[in-house]
Amino acid sequence: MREIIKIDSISYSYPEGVQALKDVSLSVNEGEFLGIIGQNGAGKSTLLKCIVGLLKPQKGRILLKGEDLDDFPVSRVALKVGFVLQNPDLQLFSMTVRDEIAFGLSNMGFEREQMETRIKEALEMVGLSGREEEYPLTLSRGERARVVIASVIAMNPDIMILDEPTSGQDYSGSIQIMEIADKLCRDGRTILVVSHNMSLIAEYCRRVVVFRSGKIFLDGSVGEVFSRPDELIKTGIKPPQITRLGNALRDVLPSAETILRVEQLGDLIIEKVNRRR
Amino acid sequence: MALPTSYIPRDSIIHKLDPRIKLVIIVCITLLVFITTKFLPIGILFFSLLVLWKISGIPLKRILSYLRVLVFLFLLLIIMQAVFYPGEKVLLEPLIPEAVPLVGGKGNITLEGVLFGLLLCLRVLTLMCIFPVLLATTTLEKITLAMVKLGLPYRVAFTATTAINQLPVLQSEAGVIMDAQKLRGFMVFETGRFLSKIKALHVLVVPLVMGSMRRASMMGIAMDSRAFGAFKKRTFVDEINIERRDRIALAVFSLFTGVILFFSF
Ligand SMILES: Nc1ncnc2c1ncn2[C@@H]1O[C@H](COP(=O)(O)OP(=O)(O)O)[C@@H](O)[C@H]1O
Ligand SMILES: [Mg+2]
Repeated sequence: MREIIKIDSISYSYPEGVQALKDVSLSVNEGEFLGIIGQNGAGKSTLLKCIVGLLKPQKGRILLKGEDLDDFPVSRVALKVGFVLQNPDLQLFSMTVRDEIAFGLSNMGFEREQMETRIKEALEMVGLSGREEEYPLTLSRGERARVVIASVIAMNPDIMILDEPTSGQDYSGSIQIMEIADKLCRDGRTILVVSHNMSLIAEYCRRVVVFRSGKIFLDGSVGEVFSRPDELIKTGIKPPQITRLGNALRDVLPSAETILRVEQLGDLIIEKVNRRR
Repeated sequence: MALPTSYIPRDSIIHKLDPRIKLVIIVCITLLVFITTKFLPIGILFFSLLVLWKISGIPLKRILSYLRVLVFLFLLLIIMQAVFYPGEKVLLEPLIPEAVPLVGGKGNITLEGVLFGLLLCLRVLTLMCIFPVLLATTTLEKITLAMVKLGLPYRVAFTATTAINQLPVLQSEAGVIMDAQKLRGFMVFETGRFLSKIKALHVLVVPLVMGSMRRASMMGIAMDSRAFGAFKKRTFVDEINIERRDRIALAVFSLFTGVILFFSF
């Protein structure tokens, strides 16, 4: 596995505020689907902004594919790293969905025909085909979020960072967004996603990083992290309900694995019942 | 970056003054800057404002940030005045030769011109130092209340202070929009030249204005749903009273105004 992001003990303090990152190190491999969780104000967004260079850490350094970030402006890094910021509304600054997606492509210098193809593909990917001429801000919340995602996908980045894409989304909206991220990951992209929805994290991510007051508190596979409820609760996080149910049933289940999906627990219970018969 | 309009909670004497007194004094100082055209009184005004800044706890280095923003304007002012102000003491010969029709022989750089340019700069700088004193030491609620007590209709006062209140919101929205644009590979605001930045400004201003309009209409609904304007008479949570220190401040300021006027004419 090739390392695609290397964060080497960075610290960041806001000019008139708190120290948001304290000596954080993190290494992400190509093709990973990484979930980032932690309470509001823990420093998740700050870390992500440092990765693309929107914020410059006062200490430490960040390498993307082995290259030091300091040498590039954000608009260059953006060609490799797609970043969907937390609130979709301020990221929609065009008059039509089409222009919105074309903005990045124009900056990259695509010809018109290529743009049209890419716009179509991106909209198809997020399930908004045929909506090119609509005004982005009149779309529903879920659709607005997906327009922003489409505008980043169109630029075909290697790394896709999504900061709380599921906040304020209804259930199907959240699932849609995670499915898009999953598809991108299966196509070989590296995905970093922040979410407060633990069941989505459990279902889609393979690795989870837990932030607490500017530091990485836990880092491991989804199973490892969610099998430590006593530590997670210190930072206000509870594993998904299905995992907690699995923990409660641990003594009677035929396997000690951490439960992350409903089907997984279902299968174990069926196995157990069948054995009894 | 904090805006020069933000309230700075401190315990200074200026914070404690009645907002009506502060408002009146601030407006009078503004008028004085417009009336006076001489170095000495403007200098005194500027220096007194610096003292007020210091007392109110506004960082003095903020003036440097003004200078950084205004340096272009100031240079322009000085050059324009130096060239076009009719003066006697010629420092530099005409820039344009006599032979050129119409504008020939113009462009003497005169001592009077340079001095007048400098004076203009000092006046602009002084003007810019006035309102931060009020805004840093008085909450917007109190400023609204002061305006109402001075006879302004509540709606007008509310509009004025709300506009000020929205500045930091606009600033942070502009920041996010620019970030979002950089993230889509838009280089102009990051690495572009000054002129191309100006040309690209509409990319930022259009969404900013649209956003403010949406926010304004939402704010209207939120205010209506909290019974804004349901009754003629309003009550206020703050109470303001003219006290002894306010009378003293007013007296000192009257004296000060006298001195400034004395040196102005
Ligand atoms: N622009 C800013 N200026 C000052 N402090 C900030 C700013 N943005 C975030 N912070 C502070 O930095 C800390 C981390 O914030 P953030 O990275 O946004 O957390 P998270 O994304 O995990 O909710 C918080 O304490 C927050 O208040
Ligand atoms: Mg955040």
